[in-house]
Amino acid sequence: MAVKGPGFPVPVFPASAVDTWGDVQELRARPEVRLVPTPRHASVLLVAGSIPPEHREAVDRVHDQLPHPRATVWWRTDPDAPTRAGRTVEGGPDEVVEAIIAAHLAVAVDPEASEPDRRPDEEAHEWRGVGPNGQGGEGMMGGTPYGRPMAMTGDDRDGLALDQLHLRLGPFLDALPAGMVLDVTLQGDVLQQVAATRPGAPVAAGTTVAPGRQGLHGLAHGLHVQGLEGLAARAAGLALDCGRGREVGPDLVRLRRGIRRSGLLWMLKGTGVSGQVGDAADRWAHRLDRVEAAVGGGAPPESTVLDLDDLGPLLEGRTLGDAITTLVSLDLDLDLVAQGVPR
Amino acid sequence: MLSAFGTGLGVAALATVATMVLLGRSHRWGARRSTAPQRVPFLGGFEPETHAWSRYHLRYYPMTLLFIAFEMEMMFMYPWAVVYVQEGVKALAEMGMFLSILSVGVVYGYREGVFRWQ
Repeated sequence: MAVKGPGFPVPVFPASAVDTWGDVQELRARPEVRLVPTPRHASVLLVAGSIPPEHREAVDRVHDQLPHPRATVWWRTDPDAPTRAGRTVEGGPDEVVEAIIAAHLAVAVDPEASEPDRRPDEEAHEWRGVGPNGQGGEGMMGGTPYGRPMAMTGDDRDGLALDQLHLRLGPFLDALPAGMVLDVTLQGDVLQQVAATRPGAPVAAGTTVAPGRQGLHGLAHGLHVQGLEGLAARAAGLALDCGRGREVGPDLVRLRRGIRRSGLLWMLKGTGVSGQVGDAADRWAHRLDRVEAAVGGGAPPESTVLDLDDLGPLLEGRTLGDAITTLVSLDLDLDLVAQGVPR
Repeated sequence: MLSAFGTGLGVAALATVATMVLLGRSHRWGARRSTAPQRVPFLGGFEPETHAWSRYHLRYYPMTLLFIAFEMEMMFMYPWAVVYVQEGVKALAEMGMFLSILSVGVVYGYREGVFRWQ
């Protein structure tokens, strides 16, 4: 169903758990929806997969950040989770796209049907500041405006003693791999400390997803993060075809040519250099080899799988943009291939 | 004359009243205000733990200094080029002095690593 007109493609913000992350990436191939990077741009919130209990509050928080009119679509969510407003879908991508369009049209026609806030409309902490700007401290130092302490200075890479900003990124941040939470300490745009966590993926043993399709999901996401939306949509389309059992080998060769012509690998040279696995360009080339081998049914070449604990030392000292580029060039989702994803 | 002044006064009064009304009622007439959760910066689901007011490294700063050094040079060189033929050697010496002063800025930029792509 291709719908044209104002409000289409429907801007959708996906909050996906680890098990359905790949299927959400396939939606990049659908012309009816557009996956947007922040809830502010979205009309529909797509909650996909079994969200771990510790991230359910984050889903509600993201929901409240969508502007009105807004709607929620729940896709293959945990039936035990507390029920919330919205449409529930169990089927495949066709069904979920239909539900998203229906939800979008329903709130567009009747804005009163927009979903109310799930959390109280009050500041997390009250304003308690004193001083000339209410910051509570002296000058630009100290104090706790809105209950959040001001960033304080510390030693840094460039010897500038800049303020340290502590952020917890994820689990629904567009640029991060499925379900990953990064606790970072930023000074300027340089990551000083990084701790990556990921909730125990509730992945039950079941039918396996073909490694080729899995690789294409990662490829689609990586291309999207690198800003190559057209190529990302093509990779997602190939993943969709893979799921339908079509032969995608020749198309993958064409996609690979497209990636080479985009200059992506050339730009990534020298970025994210790590002792064992070369730079980001090497890793992308290696990943393309592996996807190609997996799609062809051959044995994929050996790859180095990084443990989450090794991520910190790899990302520390890089700028945020460099770190994200490094992160999407790594293969962090291989454990899912082995375990399989339940349908 | 007087009637023109009266018209102007009337328009000014009307504009003042309209502005006052719009300012006073904008709270009611305007778009719905954002809620507290919407004012929180989006980090992927969690809330920031520290306030966003922090000092950061302005990486383009040395580049702007270098730009100003070259731009001031050009600003002076245009009028200088117009009178150069009339003034002769005197103008050449003046421009040499000016450029040598400016080149100190460029040397400073070089020391700060402006020409090193990072």
